[in-house]
Amino acid sequence: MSGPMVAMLLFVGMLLLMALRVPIAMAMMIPGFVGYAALAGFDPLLKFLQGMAFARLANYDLTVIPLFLLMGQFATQGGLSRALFAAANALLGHLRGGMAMATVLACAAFGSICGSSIATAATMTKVALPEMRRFNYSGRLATATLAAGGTLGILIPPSVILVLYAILAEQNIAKLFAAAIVPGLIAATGYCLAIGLYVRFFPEHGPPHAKASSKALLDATKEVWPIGLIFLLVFGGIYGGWFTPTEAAAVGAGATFLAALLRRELTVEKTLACFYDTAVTSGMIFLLFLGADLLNVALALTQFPAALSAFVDGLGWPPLAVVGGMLAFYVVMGCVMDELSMILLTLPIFLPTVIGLDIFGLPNDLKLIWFGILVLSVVEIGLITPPVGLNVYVVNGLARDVPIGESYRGILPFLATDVVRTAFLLIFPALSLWLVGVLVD
Amino acid sequence: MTPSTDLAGRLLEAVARLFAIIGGLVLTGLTLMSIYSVLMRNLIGRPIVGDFELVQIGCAIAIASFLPFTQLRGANIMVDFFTARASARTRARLDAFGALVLGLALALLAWRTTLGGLSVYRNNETTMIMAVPVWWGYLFMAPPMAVAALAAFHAAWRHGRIAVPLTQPATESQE
Repeated sequence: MSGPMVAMLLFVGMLLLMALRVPIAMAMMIPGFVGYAALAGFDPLLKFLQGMAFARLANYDLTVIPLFLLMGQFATQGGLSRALFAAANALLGHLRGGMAMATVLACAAFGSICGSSIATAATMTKVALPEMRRFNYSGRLATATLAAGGTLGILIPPSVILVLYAILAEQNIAKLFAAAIVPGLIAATGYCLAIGLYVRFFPEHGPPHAKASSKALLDATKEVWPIGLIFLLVFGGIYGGWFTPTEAAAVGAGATFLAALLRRELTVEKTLACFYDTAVTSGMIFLLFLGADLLNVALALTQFPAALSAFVDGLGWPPLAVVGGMLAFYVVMGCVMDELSMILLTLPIFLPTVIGLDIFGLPNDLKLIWFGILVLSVVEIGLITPPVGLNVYVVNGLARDVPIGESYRGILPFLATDVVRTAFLLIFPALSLWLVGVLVD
Repeated sequence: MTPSTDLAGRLLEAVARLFAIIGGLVLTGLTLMSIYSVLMRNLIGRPIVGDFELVQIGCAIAIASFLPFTQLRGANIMVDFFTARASARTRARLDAFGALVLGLALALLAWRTTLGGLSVYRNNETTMIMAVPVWWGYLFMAPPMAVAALAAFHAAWRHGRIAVPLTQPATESQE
């Protein structure tokens, strides 16, 4: 049997197991076992497994993930999200739709110390949703803003997805974070524009309210300086050359813990909850990581990634069309699969093809960084696209009185800005790569 | 599923918590060591040489220690898109199957990692700079993997017996 044939069988097996509700990590790992045993033999598989778990998990860069998760947990339980929303609201709340824009701003700021979009969405929802509803914002606009705003958690560094990308593509985490900053800010701006346009046509969805006094604004701002300080410490440290991203995550987690303690909101119980949540999420992510890794080892034995690269090369399509096709594939896959498993599974297959493309004559490392930001952007679209859209589910699950259809309707303007932004990032690599040159090289 | 109240379930919960706490302590240790290392290097100019080796081994230990707790919380995500319309009974049976598969795979990994640890121990493998014995990592990885496998078997048994399917973790995790 030819290599690509075996690869196809492995994919079919994986999809079948997934359809049967087998945990995704296992739906990837089992075909990985079978493929490895079929191509290399059963004894070599057993031998390979002896060192596999340790070799894959004992990875300096991977440590960033639990540490950034812990940092996000401290920020959440420490009530930093509430302080951020209060400050942003004092600044923008008096505009029409201003409270929704304040939510986006607060999400962006929270995203700068939290690496997960679901955590950002859930946290900000608890803070901002009751306020928006109290000021007669429609459920449609309020939930859609929160679902879209939550995606800033991964778009704006730190970002768990980007760390995994960096490891799979063997790229520098610091460079990827730098590349994500401008696109993240564009995303936040796009969301505010979407809100502005929306309330222009439908003013009843986001009524303005009284302007905060300058004293109230000042008081609210005083509460948020620790967040700015932590961000500066973490990223200043990385780009100032004082510490590695792993050390930055450690410093950030420590600093966020202190900030939460100083706010006097962190009880022993909440601290334990931070650790348990980090444990559960890390365990989930790393089992996926192991499963995807095994399947990809087997796929590499089939030579499928190289065959795909050669096939795409033979098609003679323009490089941007190839990349656009991959991104479209992600959007479709994202309807049934979660984003993390999707990129863990597909990146080792796609990356050889991407490296083989000539994108504006970029060198390989910049090309992979640019592609990483595109993947991130598309993953984020998947988080808010019907019929699944995890973020929409999470936010809507917390807003009992809003039908899910309303949330989906509200998300459309935000999705439109996402598609436009992704197209720009595709056509203009400089949007991602400019800051990499400024900060890192 | 609601937390299990039978003896095996309570025991697994206690052991999983213990491992999660060990993992959390290791992670906290790594955090403090990294902060200390950053301060030493940047303020006094005296770096801890090779601390990243400890971080690597610690990372593997911490992650493996989290696996049982993740399994007990039913947080290993699956796709329920294709079976959303199936009856609760069918879904519970499929979940029993899924948990069984997960248990078998983790048991295999635990077994092979134990053997891997023995071979690393016999060969006296150590890290390059600090000469930390590598078998430590294996020693602390295999037991939680085995416990996670047991937790999965227990979940399979419960799904089969009380016929309650998993709920989508995404909707379950927000209180």
